[in-house]
Amino acid sequence: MRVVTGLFSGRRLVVGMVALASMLLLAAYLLFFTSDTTTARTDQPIAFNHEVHAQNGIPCQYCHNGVTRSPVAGIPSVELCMGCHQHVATEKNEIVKLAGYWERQEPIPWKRVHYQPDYVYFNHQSHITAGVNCGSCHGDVARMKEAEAVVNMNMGFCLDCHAEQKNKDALYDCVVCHR
Amino acid sequence: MAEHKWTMIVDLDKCTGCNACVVACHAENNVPVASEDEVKRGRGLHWMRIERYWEGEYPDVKARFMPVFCQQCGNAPCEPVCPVYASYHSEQENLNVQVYNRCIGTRYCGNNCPYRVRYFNYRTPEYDAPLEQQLNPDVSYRSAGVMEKCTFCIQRIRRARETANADNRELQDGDVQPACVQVCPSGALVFGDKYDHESRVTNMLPNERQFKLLEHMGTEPAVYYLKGGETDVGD
Repeated sequence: MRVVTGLFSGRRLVVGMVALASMLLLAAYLLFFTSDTTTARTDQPIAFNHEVHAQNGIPCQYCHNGVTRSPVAGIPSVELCMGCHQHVATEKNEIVKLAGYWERQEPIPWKRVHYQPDYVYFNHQSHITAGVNCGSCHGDVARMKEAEAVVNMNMGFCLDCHAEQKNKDALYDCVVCHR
Repeated sequence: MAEHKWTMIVDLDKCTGCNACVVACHAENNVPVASEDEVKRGRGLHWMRIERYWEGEYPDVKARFMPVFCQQCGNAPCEPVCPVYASYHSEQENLNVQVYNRCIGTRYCGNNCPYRVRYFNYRTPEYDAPLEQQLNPDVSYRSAGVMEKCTFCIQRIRRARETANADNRELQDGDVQPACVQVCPSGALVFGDKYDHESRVTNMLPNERQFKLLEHMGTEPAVYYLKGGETDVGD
């Protein structure tokens, strides 16, 4: 007759513990690192200073003018930048760089700061229509010298806010963001 | 309580079996094209297909066509079998929805679907450059191991609603048009909201030619077919 050894005895226990520990570590890694959508400071081709522009009274939508009519907020064209910078602060290093792009007829290769996975369909238009402030998701960009992702825009972050809305049931539907 | 009941009407008298709807669906929804070999092994993907039936004996033969796609059942057999709720009923849209990023590929839903309109990705589709440029950015790109099906072009429904909300008005009949309906040259497909008393689908129903696929199973499809040909429609 075979002797049935206990599941949690001797070497098996050690192997089981190691397996469990590694699974927990993997789970922790997946939870805390891969779900994080904030990125480290990026090296932008031009050290654009959001603070200076905001303090001079330029609203977000002057440059990111897609927000009211499109899913994407949009990055301003070099033409829009040059609209002011043909005359403003033309001698500064960064503006000289900008003028270089303008003369070479090249777009500025900005690096993405805020990132959403491909299966997430965020729409700026709906949020602006509903009266959500830019800062609710993007942080206080008007006080940032260099734009940084300070808010971790994961699904929990979205749903925390959706849960507080009057049309909560409609906003909890999967197809609102995934399709 | 849902505000809309999206409904499709397929007039079989008007369908010529041209397959334009199938092509439009592939283009709109990033449906991958399977190779001949894959189709032989039953791995083809078409969210929409035209079923062809021959009627009569030679030389008096007629071809009958029937477009078949997800029937968006009110009581869907695919929904309760999903272990991870990737296939679920959207109360908001009154549609069966497949959440691709939740799907773990058990294929229970596809096996439980009496209409055989759910398709499984046996491989991750690949596109040689520059073909990836023709992918629709409004629809997810499904990888291997994920089940997919007709969504009534949910991306178009959502976009129409978001635009209507921004304009501070209600959705109107005609705001939403799935890709298949848009391209149908004979106008055999009609799409609309059945809860809207003024809509085109509401005006077309009830119709003496109407029937639903496998209606006796109690799946409550949202797709109505109108009988075609010289079919006896009864009294």
